Order: sequence, then C-alpha cells, then structure tokens
Amino acid sequence: MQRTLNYGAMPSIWVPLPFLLTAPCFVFAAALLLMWQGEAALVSRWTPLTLAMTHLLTLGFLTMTIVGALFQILPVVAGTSIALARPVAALSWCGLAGGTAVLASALGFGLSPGFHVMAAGMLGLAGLVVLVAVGAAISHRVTPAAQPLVAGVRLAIAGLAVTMGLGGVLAMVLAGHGTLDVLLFTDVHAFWGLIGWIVALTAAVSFQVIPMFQGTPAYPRALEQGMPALLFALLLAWSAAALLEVPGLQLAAEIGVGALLAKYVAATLLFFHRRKRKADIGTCYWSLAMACLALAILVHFLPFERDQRALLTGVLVIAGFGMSAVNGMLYKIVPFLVWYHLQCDARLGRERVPGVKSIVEEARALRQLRWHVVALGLLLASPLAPSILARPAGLFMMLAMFLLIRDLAGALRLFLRLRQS
Amino acid sequence: MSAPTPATAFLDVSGLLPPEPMEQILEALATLAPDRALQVLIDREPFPLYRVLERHGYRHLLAPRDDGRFDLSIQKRPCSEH
Repeated sequence: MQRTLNYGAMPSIWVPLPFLLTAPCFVFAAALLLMWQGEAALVSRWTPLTLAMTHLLTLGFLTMTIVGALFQILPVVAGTSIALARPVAALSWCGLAGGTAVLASALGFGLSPGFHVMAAGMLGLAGLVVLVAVGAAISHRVTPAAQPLVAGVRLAIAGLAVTMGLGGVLAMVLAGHGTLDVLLFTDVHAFWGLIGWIVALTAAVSFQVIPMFQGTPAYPRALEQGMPALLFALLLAWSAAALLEVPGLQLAAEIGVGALLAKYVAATLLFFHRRKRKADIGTCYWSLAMACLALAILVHFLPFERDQRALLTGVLVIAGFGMSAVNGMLYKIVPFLVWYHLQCDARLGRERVPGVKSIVEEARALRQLRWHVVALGLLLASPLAPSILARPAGLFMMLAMFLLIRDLAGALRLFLRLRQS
Repeated sequence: MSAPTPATAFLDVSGLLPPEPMEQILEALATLAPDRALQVLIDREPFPLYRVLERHGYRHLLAPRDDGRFDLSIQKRPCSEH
C-alpha cells in the first residue's frame, strides 16, 4: 500500500524564488523604456526599442517565471524533481538574467556586435542547462495523472530549443557573422517562441493547474494529450512552408493553430462559465489571458497592415495572454511557497505560521489586476495613437509591476522575519 | 484500507481547492491525540504534504480508491523511529 516517495523532491525555497522575484523587474525595465521613448517604442515591431522590450518581456519575465515555476510544479504535480536543483537554478538564473539584460541593451541601444555574441552565449548556456535538467527530470516515471503535463513540457522545451537555436543564429548574423533572410528567420523565431514555447508551456501547465486551483472539471483527455503534439506538428509544417515559400500550406497551418488555440480557449471559458463557485482572483487572471488569446487569433486573420497586425498580435499574446496568466500564477505560487516552507520548519510552532491566504491578501491581487488591465488596454490602443498613449501605457505597466513586486517582496519579508525570529 | 477504528479521526477534504486540503490536514493533526490516527479522503496525491509530515514526525499510508480519490492515513511515528 505504501508508495515509494521522494521526500527530497520539493526544492529549497531559494531555488524557484529568485526567478519569481526578479522576473517583474524586467517588465519594470521594459515599462521604463516605453515611458522614456514613448511612440518610438511602438511604431513598428522592428524598431530597436520594440525588439528590446519584446525580449525583456518574453525572456526576462515569461521565460524567467516559467523556468522558476517548473522547479516547483514538477515535484508538486508530477512527483519528480530536477536533480542538483540549486546549482542548476543558479547557473540558469545567471545566464537568463544576464543574457536578457545584455541582449535587450544590445538590441535597444545598438551596442557593438560583440554584445550580441555575448548575449547568445549566456542565453545559450542557460537554455542548455534548462533543457538538460528538465529533460532528465521528466524522463523519470511519473504518476499517470501527470503524464499529459510531462508530454506537454517535453514538446514545449523542444519549442524553446528551436526558438533559442534560431535566436542564436540571428544574434550571430546581427554581429556580422554570415548572412540570411533576417526578416523571414525572425518571423519563424517569433512564431516558435510565442506559440511553441510560451503558449504551449502555459497551456500544458494550465491543463493541470486550472482544474486543481480553479476547481473546474479536468480538460477532455483528447485536448490535454492531443493539443501539444498537434501544435508542434503544425509549427513544423508552418516553418517548412515559410522557408520553402509555400503560402497555401503556411496559411493552412496558421488556420490549424488558430482553430486549436480557439478550442483550448473555448473549453477553458466554458469551464469558468459553468462553475458554481464564485470566481476568485486567479480565475479573473486566467479569463483575461484567454480573452486576449482569442483576440490574438482574431486579429491575426483580420486584413490589417502586416506590421501593425504582427505588433498587435504580439502585444495580445505576450502582455495579454502570457503576462496575465503569469501574474495570476505568481499570486498563487509565491504565498504558497512561503507558507509551505514555514510549515516545513519544525522549529516554528504551527500557531505562528499565518494562513496561506493572509500572506498576500486577495484584495492586493485584485488591485494589481486592475492596474494590469488598464496598462494592457493602453498598450493595445497605443498603435492607434502612439504619440498620445504609449507613455501612459508605460506608466501604468510600471505601476502594475510595482504592485506585483511590492506584494511578492512583502511575502518574502514575512518569510525571513518568521524564520529569523 | 481498513475501516476507521475508534482510535481514528476522519477528515474529508475532497472537493476543496489547494492548498486548503493541506491546511485542514495540518490543523487536524495539531489537535490530534498522539495515540490516534487521522484518515483523510483526498482528491489528489498531496506530494508537498509528505515532507511536512516527515519533518514533524508523522508517517503515512496512501491507498488509491476506485473513484480516483485517495485514502491517506497519518499517524505519529513511535519515538523509537525518530
């Protein structure tokens, strides 16, 4: 009857926490750039500042939190852990944080080619460490309930590998080594990064955490198991069609991706609609994320000017879908980590450990959500009137992140105070 | 798993959202007499709970049910096992 259990599976709080606490600082930096440069940062997806902001958000915030959360989610949900978690986390955090800062500076301020190579090296090292460590962890036998998560993570980290490989090649070309069709390869790099990594991983995690934390039924097995594999196959077909210039196949693959993501969004929103419980703040963040993903699919097929359409789709996927989902998860994960590690401390009396809901009160998360919605609305409207709206969008984005940083730092302060007392 | 004995307290945390099951289990253990066991009905295998139990000197047994839920039995370890 007793199952074999790995008590050491849960890592130290200092493994995921540095990722989760530093990630909002990169959004803060992106918001500062937006406030400083205003419309120049949102006039096209190709301006140096737009590229810098995009990487601060995708690598510095989304990838940073996703990697940190994986250290925590794999043991909690799948009962498997990343070996040598502390050195792996330290190395990947340094590579990711340092590489993102160097890359954003190199892209945004036009630094010398050597900085592109340095960024590619640092991010490549971080990516390799994450791929090997997570790959090894999910190669172990996991509980049957966690198998769809593990399959989804496996394909998403393959998506990350493709994104980083293409990003590395582009960085080398920008540094003057070799030539290729930069616009085409940037499109392929962006498509893999947004859909193959961020959307695919967030969806795979959501298949587990939405039923678990929002109290919905489990996702249909066909969607849970089929979506990651089908998404990966469609991305491969789309990339081949783009590189070989077969527009018909490229459009068919885009329609396939759109339909698949629409099915995922519809299933999730239907769950929330049918749920008898009152919607908590986590459900609000997820609903916003799903609405933005639905809007991104719609915008992608509307007859906009190509560059404007790509910019708007990017804002919807990165700031709308990714950031909303991650902000909501941070308000769940960080208080739980603090509470859990205080509970594990046998020196502390149980009566001294506060309830998990009082570590960061829901009213605080609601306040952050409101500012995030305002920032997102301004950001989406900015391409229409960049000279008027870009700077306010940056200001509200900064305020939303200030609230997030303050709330997460408050949880950390409580942890340190109780541990030291 | 055998039916609860008089020395066993019973707690049903199925249907609750995490981390409430874990909070309720730890609250129940705090008021449990050392010679009694706690039997819990739970929706998911509570991986994070195991380390807390280990750190606080409890042992546990887990048995899956046919309906997908789990029976979790928790008891203070005898001093000789500490």
